[in-house]
Amino acid sequence: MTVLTDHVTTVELPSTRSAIPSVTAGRFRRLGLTYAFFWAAGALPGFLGLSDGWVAAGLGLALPGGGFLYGGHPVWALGVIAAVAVSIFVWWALGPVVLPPLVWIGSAVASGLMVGQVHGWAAPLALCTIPAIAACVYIVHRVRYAAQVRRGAELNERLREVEFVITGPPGDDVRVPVAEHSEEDLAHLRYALDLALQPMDRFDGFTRIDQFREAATRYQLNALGYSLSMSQFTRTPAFTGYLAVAQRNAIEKMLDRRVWGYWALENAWGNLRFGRDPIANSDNIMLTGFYGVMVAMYESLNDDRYSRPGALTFQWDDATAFVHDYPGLATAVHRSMTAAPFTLYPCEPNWIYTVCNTFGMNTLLSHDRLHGSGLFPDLEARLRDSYEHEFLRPDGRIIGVRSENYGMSWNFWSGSAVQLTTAYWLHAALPDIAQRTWWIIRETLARRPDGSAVLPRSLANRVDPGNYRLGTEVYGMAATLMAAREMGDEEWAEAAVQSLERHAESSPTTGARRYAGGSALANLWANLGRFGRHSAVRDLLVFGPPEAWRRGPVLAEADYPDVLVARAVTDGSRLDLVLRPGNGPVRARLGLGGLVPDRTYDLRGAVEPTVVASSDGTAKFHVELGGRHEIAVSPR
Amino acid sequence: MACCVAIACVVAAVRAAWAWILGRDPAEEVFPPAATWRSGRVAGMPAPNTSFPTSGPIAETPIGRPLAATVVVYALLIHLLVATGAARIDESMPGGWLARDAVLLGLAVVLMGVASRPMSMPSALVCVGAFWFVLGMVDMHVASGVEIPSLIVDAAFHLSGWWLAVAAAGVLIVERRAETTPLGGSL
Repeated sequence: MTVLTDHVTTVELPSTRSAIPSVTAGRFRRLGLTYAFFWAAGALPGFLGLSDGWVAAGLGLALPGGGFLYGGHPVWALGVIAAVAVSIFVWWALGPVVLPPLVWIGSAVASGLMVGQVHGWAAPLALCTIPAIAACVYIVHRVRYAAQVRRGAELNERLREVEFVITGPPGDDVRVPVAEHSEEDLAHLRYALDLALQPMDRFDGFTRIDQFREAATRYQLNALGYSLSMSQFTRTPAFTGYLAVAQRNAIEKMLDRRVWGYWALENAWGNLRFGRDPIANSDNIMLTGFYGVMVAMYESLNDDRYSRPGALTFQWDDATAFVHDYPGLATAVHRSMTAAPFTLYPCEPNWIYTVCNTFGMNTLLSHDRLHGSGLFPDLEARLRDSYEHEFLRPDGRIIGVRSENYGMSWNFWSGSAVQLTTAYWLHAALPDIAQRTWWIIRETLARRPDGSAVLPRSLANRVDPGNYRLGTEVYGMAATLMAAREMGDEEWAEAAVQSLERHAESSPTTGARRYAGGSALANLWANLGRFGRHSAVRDLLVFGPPEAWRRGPVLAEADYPDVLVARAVTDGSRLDLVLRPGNGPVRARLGLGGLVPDRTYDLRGAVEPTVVASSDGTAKFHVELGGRHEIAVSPR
Repeated sequence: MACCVAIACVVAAVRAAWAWILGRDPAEEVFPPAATWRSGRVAGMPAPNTSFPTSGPIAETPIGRPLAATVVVYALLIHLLVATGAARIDESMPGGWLARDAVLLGLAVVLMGVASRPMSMPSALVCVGAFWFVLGMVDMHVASGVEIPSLIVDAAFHLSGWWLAVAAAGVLIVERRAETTPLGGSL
């Protein structure tokens, strides 16, 4: 039965309050005061008439390289400016909070020790440069802000007429009937299964660059889990077997210290704390939130093993273990959000990402549904306010990153690919903002003559964050596919698939399919989009699968890659399967679960005509697989 | 927009240099090997709460490349120090800069050809740090090819290699004690 509880609404951009939102303004004041202290300390030696060395050191505090400029070393001054820029970049990338002040203060001290031919004109230059730059930045911000306000007003004129459908509980047939994997879908699924079903200590086929940024193994494991779960949700909800094993492998590989051990370093150099627990801290939503969603998807479709106490234990060594479980992840997210000034909280120490916090919200939402808690409603108003004011430009662009301590942000993280990924994951918790974001970004999409989609030409849209490769559209198109499909815009979803297909390649040995040049992360995101449908993430995380799926029979055993499952669905008593051979024609043995004990079931499409369930509700039968093959299991 | 271009260029340059030093493209994308799964097999690992990180293949690199890169960086830094007045080269040396750079370039090429022993990242960093220290000492205080008048800059220059070696050795000791593979990039 379908229960239509969708409702239609309009979603305008919020009226703007000020050019700098309130919490951010507080952070800027802190930044200004910090610099004012440096400036005052830097100006003091000159005012007091101290020696040239002291004056140079002071000017080095007022402006990176200012002391060298004063002391007659202009090339050193340029070197220091470059070094400070690099240190800020590294601070953003890896979180070492001590690095910029170390370089800045260290260079000031060095300039005091190396003072040579003094240039008097450098003193006012050093004292005025940063205040002047700050004034220029503020003026530029106001000019751009005014343009964004005008753009926002134009958009609101049109948004008043746009009706967005906010999906409600989908009913027993889950909005759209369970679909069947095409042969191409199955080939892409094989890519994910081959990654997930290798031995637990192997990571062959994963991108291996670093464990800190977007290419980190944890993000690939997250995407692997999400895409496998989505495949189960929309195509094979009544197939557990190796598909559930693959999801468990992805979840349990996350417990490998090589995957999460980065946190000990980031916490040490970013927070100056020596705690190594990746969950019990006030940052690291890039692990806690992402992991919570991964486990939530598994638990929604399979079993609750990861909610048992200690089920997710991070073992550092023989003597040290950090004992957690799925409720513990949700509690950690809730605690951190409650305490955070922006409500959104950081990934790497200090740096808040809007996309990462969508995973935190989704962890709370799914935990509320699965365990009857009320974590998300407790924070919903604060989260909405933050997304709508602290992290939204007047023209509707979500601000991708912001410094928790100093309020800084930049446009690189407001590119379309980041917006689309954020909109996709935001759809479960804040569907109105997600759909409005999609509506705004969709207007910037273009088509090639063959109809395939193209994102606006910018570096941010042509980078694959999964391997830092520039000039590739695979990640951007994967994000487009995900968002378009989730918002129910099949026209753009197909256009994105068409773009991706320009890069398709097949493994000559297994037939698995992927997109050439794309990282493992981009390919797994593409799978997530490929296996998605209208409101799939929202349905899975917020409303969950229908009860019939949980009480009906399932295909619990099949060999991989001999048997590929294209469709598996139950109505609570009957099971319908569509299978394909993955390794040539085969006579395969299949195992059923969730049957009524001792009951006889009729088999259509199997070697045996009937099967009797054992006392534990299982049964086995055989099937001759030569091509696409339908099987029906129905109680007599 | 300019800062986006700058960041992208930095990322691309770092990525290319990193790939060269490692001797492989770390982002080379390949299909995973074919997996198999037989019904009835006990799934995954023993149990999540008893799992312990097991050793995987350690990413290793031939030591010649990082050492060659060290020589190139050393040569460039000496140019920079001399340009800023923080260092002086021996003007009487026949051939001047050309000879110095040729010798250093030759050393880099030889190192790439001869030193092919694969090493893990911390081990390689110990070697790089020690090599930086030795290279500077030999160049400045044995061959007298370069002179740094400031004792502070001189000490900082040499000790930078020493500190790197000590820090990397610390990581190596911690890793070996824990009998696990290194953090970061070692999967």
